[in-house]
Amino acid sequence: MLKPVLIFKGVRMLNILILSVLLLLVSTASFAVSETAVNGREILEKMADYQRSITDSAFVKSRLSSCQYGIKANKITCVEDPRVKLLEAVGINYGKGNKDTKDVTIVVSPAAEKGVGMLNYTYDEPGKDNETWLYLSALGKVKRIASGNSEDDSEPASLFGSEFTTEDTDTGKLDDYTINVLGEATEAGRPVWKIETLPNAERARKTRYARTVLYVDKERFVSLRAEMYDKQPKEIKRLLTSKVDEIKGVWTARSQTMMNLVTNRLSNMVRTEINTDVSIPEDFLTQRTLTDVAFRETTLEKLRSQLK
Amino acid sequence: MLSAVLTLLLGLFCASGYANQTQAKAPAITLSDELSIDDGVGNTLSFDDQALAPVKPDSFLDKFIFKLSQQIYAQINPHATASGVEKQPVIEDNRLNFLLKYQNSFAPTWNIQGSAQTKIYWPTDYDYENGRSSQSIELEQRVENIESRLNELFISKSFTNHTLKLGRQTIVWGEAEGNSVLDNINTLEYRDLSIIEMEDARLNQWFITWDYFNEAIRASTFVNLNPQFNPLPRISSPAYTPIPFNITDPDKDNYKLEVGSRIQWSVAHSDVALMAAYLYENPLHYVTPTSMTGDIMAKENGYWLLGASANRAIGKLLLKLDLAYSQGLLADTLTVPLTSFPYQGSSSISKNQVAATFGFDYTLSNEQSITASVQAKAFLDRTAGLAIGESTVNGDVFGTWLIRYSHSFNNGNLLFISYNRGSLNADQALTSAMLSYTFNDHWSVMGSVIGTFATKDSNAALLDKDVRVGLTISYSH
Repeated sequence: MLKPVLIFKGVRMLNILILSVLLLLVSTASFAVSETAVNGREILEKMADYQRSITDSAFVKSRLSSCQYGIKANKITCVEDPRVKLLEAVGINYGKGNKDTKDVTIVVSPAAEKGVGMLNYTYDEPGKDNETWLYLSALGKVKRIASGNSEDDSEPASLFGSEFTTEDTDTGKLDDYTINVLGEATEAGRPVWKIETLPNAERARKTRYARTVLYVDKERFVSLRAEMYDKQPKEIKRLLTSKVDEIKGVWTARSQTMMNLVTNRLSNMVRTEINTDVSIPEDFLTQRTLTDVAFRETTLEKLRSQLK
Repeated sequence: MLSAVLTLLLGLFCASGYANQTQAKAPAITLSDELSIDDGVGNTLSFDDQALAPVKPDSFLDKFIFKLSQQIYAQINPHATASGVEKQPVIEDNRLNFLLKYQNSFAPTWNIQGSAQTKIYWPTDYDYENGRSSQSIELEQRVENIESRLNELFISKSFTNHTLKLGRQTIVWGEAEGNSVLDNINTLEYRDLSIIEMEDARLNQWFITWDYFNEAIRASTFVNLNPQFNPLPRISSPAYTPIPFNITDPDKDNYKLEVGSRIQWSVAHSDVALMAAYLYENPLHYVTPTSMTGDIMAKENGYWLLGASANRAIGKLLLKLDLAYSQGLLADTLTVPLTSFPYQGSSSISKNQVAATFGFDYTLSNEQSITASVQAKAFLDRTAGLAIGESTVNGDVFGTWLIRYSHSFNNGNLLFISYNRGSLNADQALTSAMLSYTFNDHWSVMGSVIGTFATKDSNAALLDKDVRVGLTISYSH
């Protein structure tokens, strides 16, 4: 009677898990493109296509760290011990144009959240809400989570309580933006295009960002930096990318750091393992995986054996 | 007294608000273009080669999770309850709790898992040197001031579309968490009002369960060969009322069996379930003697339950509905309501009942959410079959409401929760506020304030105008 409140301690976190698998599976890629064909729209369009290509039949392990940050020796650094979560995610693309996604994410650590699982069905169709279920041992049941859809009226969902939101990792929907190439520059020692995206009136009602500037690597077509501005216009968030690796012919950002310039907090997402072309049984992407540990661990072991 | 509770609740809320203000007003750090992410922050923030290293195989210890919690709760309001009981400030709970969980998928398609806890009662805890075996539950053992219990322990074997589980486990039905009319299998037991982990407040049972899965349907059947019942409140606990009668235990020779099935499926943005079960009412009903001689007798009662549940997600709103029809429930009655005998004759009569819970979850933002539900029950033909002078304890419609609000800060490190519930007839209510701070993956601290209110005729009359404050420090690994 004193502590029913604790039932929901995990649930609170779950309200911000929505659609997180998108982030876990998103990466950027390079592609061959002729210099004459380069324009902002084309760059972002092809980046989105490649992002989707790497989410299909994927098994990804990630480490998500969050902390308060400060400046020390001209470096952005944590001023407190970061909170770290280790995650495993499995997903496939399906549906029309292979643009819908089924994902399941399991928290590996910390111990207090170990075994928390999230099943997410993401639909590309406009107006069709995504679906998410969580298994919480404290509740002893699978719980459907009402999150709204990032395309609808809801605030973009935070990912696992981090500074990343679904909006930061959203792909496609380029029709909602005016895209301008601002010029060329150098970022992290590499030549980049500076590309500006401005939401149209409809999108502007749904986004926190009135303007975003992307710094896209000209050779590898990876966004090395992104600046997000509010309507003031004031830069409110900044995304920095590091450790870009080529994985099966696709240049992939292995580490991304999102800084909240209002609260001085940051979150770093490291994809420690990205495995694609994994044969994933479709029944693994069901609620059974959330509740049936014997089934889940047996299937995960089969998936891991494919990685060796 | 109400003002004291509100002041304490407000204090906790303001503390969380201050944290929010502090966070929002943090001086902005100017990030020049020359700045880069520090690679050396303990190799935990940014990418490093260690991150690419293969994950080491699980060790034996990785299959365990433990949590050590020191908890202190005190009733701080000097007052008289509505029933006239004088109360002074007193520490009620002062205990160390060790919680251990184990999970091991020891072979393909096999898994074993369990959880257990041990409590050490310190001096000033009401249960210090006060344990009684008659108030224990199955698989709970006590030696002096150390008490241990096994919560869960079951083994599971999965097949292509089936899974079998055997052992002590938990089954939860219904959509409205904490207030469902269908959550009747592993009931919550608030014997000592000092639950540290909610999942361990459930009275676990020995089950054989069989789950069937296919793409669209999930079906589950359970059998319980030895149903257990919630024990009575512990002596000296806040909910304990001294009674000058012996209370008989249920007849252990009476063979009991619980069995039930549920089928679930999902449609667009909804989950639907139908269920049927034969269960025993828990907690038990009691029949009091009509004179100062005799015993209070526990009364077991088996009944049939038919139920349905559904949810519907609409944007950030999740609607939840649970429906139940119970055949053969016991309705509590008073047989001698107007006599001078101080222990009115409590009895019961078999009735059928319809019940429903309607609720919703609403996500206000990434940091804030609200949950609310109302549970309502009604006995059919409520007055039929009553003896002359006998009346039912509950009115035509009775039940409970629940409202919960949560707000998190600092990526969830700081969490404020307000939890409130009460009865539909307004004879009892609980309001609480909790503020917890998680320092890291191991250490956390939680402070809480709880106010309880009840009328003199309520079964919670002894808790009227109580104000409790509590502090819990936890280490988990």
